Amino acid sequence: MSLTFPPFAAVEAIRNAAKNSPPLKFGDKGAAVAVLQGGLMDLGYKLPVSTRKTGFPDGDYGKETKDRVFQFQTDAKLTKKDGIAGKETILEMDKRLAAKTAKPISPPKPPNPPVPLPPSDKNYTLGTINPPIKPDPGAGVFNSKPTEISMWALKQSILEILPPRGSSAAIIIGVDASLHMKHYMNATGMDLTINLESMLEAGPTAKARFRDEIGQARKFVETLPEGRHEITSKTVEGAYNYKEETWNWFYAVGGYVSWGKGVANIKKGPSGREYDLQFEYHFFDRYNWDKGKSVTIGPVTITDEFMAEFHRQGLAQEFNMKGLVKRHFKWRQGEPIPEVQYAKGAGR
Amino acid sequence: MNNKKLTHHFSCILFAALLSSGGCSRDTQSDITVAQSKNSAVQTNNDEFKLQLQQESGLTFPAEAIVTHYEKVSGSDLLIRSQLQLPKTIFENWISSYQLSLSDFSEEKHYLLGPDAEGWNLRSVGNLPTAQVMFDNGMVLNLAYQNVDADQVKIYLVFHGT
Repeated sequence: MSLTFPPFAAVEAIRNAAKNSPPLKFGDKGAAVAVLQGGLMDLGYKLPVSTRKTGFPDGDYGKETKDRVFQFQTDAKLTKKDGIAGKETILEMDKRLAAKTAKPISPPKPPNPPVPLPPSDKNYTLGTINPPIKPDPGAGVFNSKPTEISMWALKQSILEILPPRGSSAAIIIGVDASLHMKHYMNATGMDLTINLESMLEAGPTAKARFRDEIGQARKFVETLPEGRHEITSKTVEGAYNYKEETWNWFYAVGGYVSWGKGVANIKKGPSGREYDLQFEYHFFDRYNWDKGKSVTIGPVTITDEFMAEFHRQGLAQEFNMKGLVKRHFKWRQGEPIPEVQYAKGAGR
Repeated sequence: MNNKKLTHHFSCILFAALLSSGGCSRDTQSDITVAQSKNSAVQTNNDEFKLQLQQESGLTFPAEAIVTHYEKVSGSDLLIRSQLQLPKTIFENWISSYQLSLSDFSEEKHYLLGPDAEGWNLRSVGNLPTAQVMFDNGMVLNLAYQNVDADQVKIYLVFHGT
């Protein structure tokens, strides 16, 4: 029987306890115990000793926790009353917590029929006004619900695998992915500038999208008269970091939008027109956990359900990710842009 | 136990469990053990998948469309890869509802369909004419088509969030 209360379902040791393999018991310590203690508190069982230092569970299955588990077993009229959190106890707590918090987000509803924006191949226009961006709606209003102790404890278990405390997230989902998740957990809501150069190097699709944008800018520039022109994409275009290409950027960003802008100088040369383009490639994405997202990092299965709930309970906060890379292109009429100019640091 | 000890203890437990966890493969670049996602589902049942496709994306598909591949990938933003077959005239009508015509499709956009994956083998078919539709809810639809015969086209569809 699977667990339905997200903090319980997320932690491997609690999932195991729900199968008695092994149960959580007196003397145990760690993230699973802290989440169990949070569950007891969310059900109304006070743990003054275990929370006396910080106000939050200490992750130590001591006498107090054993007594509260026993009390819960008694109140719930369970067959086993031994202060050990095994299958019967965990399943009953899970059932009550899920019902009490009614937290599991309802199954994804079919989105409203989306309204298509104008096709993206209309390319560029003169000027510097950035194209409009329509990020997905995210998880709702930040800090709009009271914080639950079990959710706090679950957040702590995730922080333990994120830098600087732990390294396992960086190993499994990648350095940038774990940094972005940490920024989410910091709950500042501040914009984050990503390492866009690194993303372009890591993902063939990201690189192809970058070059496609340059190609569009070039085509537009070649239609312009001689002189100096500021140019900007009319619309953003979407792209995706596929996990088959880059595990790190798949989790760090996933889908995103990008666009180009720049300053073009066009003059007549001895053998035709000569083009000079100071090009900027812009990136935008909203880091959120709205639906359909999950990742297992060692003993913790991170799902959209509780990550979105973190945002609503003020334990984490969505934020904007931005990125920019610059290139300087020079080419002659009828000739390709020299390959070397696409590389990082070229033509400055 | 104080916070510092607790922190250290959590780290030990989590990392030990990580090292002992199953379902791992080798990262060839760094020789580091990484967990493989089990969050993908590749399926081939037409009616059920068309329903799922419509429910997940909010798009509607012609009754004549036969879904031959449906895959939903969880991990970051929603990603759906699907293949459908339908009459070409129906296809042209359908894409016109997204303000697209065949002239909007370009082989230069083929990269938007991403790399080959299980049940998603595009290298063997070459660069297909591809187009993109951006939606007002931040979702993105990439479409490519391949002529099967004079009447039928095969559609490669990538729908994802941002």
